[in-house]
Amino acid sequence: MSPLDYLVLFGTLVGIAAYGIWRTRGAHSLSTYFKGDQTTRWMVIGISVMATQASAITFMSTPGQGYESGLGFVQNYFGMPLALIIVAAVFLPLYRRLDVYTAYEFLGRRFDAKTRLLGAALFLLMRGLAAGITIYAPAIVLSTVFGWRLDATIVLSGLLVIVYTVTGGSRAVTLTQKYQLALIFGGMVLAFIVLLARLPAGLTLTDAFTVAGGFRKLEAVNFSFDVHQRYTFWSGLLGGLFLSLSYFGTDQSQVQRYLHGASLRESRLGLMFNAVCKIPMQFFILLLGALVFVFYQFEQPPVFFNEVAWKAQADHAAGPRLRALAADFAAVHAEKQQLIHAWLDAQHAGNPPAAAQARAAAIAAQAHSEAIRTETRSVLHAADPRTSTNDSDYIFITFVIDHLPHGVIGLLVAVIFAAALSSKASELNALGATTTIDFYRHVVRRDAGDAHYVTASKWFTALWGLVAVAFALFAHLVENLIQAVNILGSVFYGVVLGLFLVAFFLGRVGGTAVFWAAVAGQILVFGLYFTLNIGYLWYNLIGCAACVLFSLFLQAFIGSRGAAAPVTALS
Amino acid sequence: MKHPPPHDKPATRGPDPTPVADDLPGLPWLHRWRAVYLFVLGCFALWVALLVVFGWLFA
Repeated sequence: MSPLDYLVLFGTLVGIAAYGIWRTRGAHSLSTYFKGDQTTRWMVIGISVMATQASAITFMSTPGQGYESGLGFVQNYFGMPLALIIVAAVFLPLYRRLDVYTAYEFLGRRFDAKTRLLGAALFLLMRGLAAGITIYAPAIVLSTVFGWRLDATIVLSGLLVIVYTVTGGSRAVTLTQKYQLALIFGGMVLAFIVLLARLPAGLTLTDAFTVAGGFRKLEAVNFSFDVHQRYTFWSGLLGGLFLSLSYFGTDQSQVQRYLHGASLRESRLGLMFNAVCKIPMQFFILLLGALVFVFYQFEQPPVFFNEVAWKAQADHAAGPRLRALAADFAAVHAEKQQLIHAWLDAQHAGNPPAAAQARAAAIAAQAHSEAIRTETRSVLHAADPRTSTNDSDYIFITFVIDHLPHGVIGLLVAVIFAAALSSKASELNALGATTTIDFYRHVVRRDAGDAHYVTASKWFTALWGLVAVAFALFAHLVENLIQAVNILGSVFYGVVLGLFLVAFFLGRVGGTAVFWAAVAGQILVFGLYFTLNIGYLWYNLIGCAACVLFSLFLQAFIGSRGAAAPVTALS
Repeated sequence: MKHPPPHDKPATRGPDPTPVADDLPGLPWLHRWRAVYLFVLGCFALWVALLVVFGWLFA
């Protein structure tokens, strides 16, 4: 990166954080520290909810998904609109009516203290680990690509977010997210425009879509009922519904965002904004990846996008084989490029048979290219088993560095960091709130004043920030970390959602029944996880169903002794 | 009999607070929340339809 890039990068990130601190300076009450001053309008709430969900991974991995697999990944978000409607119509009015700070406080009011602590503990376990990943994932990619020190990247970005989250509380998080998301959208739109400008002369947008479609990168919706296919309309609708319901309805990092609203109306509209905009936004990012794929049909791409890892092995025993594969890859690419030109020329000349023939040959050449890439991954892995064979996270950043002008590079690296900071800030804020409200104020010190709890919450937020940074520093010791955290989330999320669904809809079930049902459901999920071989997303559904069914059974067994259901969605 | 902890006051049963103008969407053509939710579901159906057409156009 050039000095201009560094100026843009540090200027935007530090500038936004400093502005957030300055605007939210001064004393806070517990309410303003955790819920802001509750004057936030729906658009800002919508932005805050969106920025919390959109981590750095969204802007590094999603274009890579579009490049490799096309638009099909967008189906993962198909359950979200319905889930957000349920949250807005059922969850949100109760949270606001009871004026809770955390979602788990609601469990305490609806059931009892032990159920509240169980829900809060499960959240702290899941989100505490995820906060480390939020900062580790972009740091590992950017430090590899730019040759930065990984530990310095993690510590510096971690400290920046800790400072403004601790100082300004929830209001600073919301305020900075507004500008961070503006930076993110501005950067991505700019990348899109520059990408279109860098396509070969004479290649229209329709041609670019034709090429992408010809390689099956634009097939967004798959109505197949085959459960073995990774992305289908039905798995996205059903799995996405449960996942989104858990995330938006019960995860404090999201609940805290929409509790900021000036009124129920503002909070609801903020959620509806996300329900409408999320699918087009993901489509746009995936389409960017598909167009990067088209771009690399006319420019020579690297055979392996993590070029640092490739070069590290190219200087050792595997070097001759890797260089031979790279040469083969370049030759196949040149042949494919000619075939694509022939295909488009035939298309423009109105000669469908010739176009179809050239297209089939180009697809065959693409399959050959992919085979060479797969073999390259195998050689790299054999040379050093620690080398990750998944290079899709490096595709977009490689394109940015190699083909975008200076200044824009700095801006897009700032986009990735802004996304990491915005989601991490929400996580830290939620972890601090849950530790303070559900554990410290509820169990340790019940009778202190507001100022004491605000000070305590600042310490807890900072502590969680340091835990996340420490976890990120040692994250490389855990193999396949991101998947491990996703599995962890799916293993716990189902039971947490079950707790809330019972709370909202099953008024006759009491605290004792639901607590032991959640414990039994969690043990069942653990047991199935270690004995069955099914996709981990199913554990969301299994945990939720187990918790609900067990609680009904236990309540029938216990009778009315344990039931005291003051508030449900149906009351 | 166990007493609830200080911050766990059970909320009492009873009618919801009287709806006020603040609880209405206040959007042009969408005067009830049900209409807003239907609009969101309609947008979802529209996005899916557009994605299907987009894929089909360039298949």
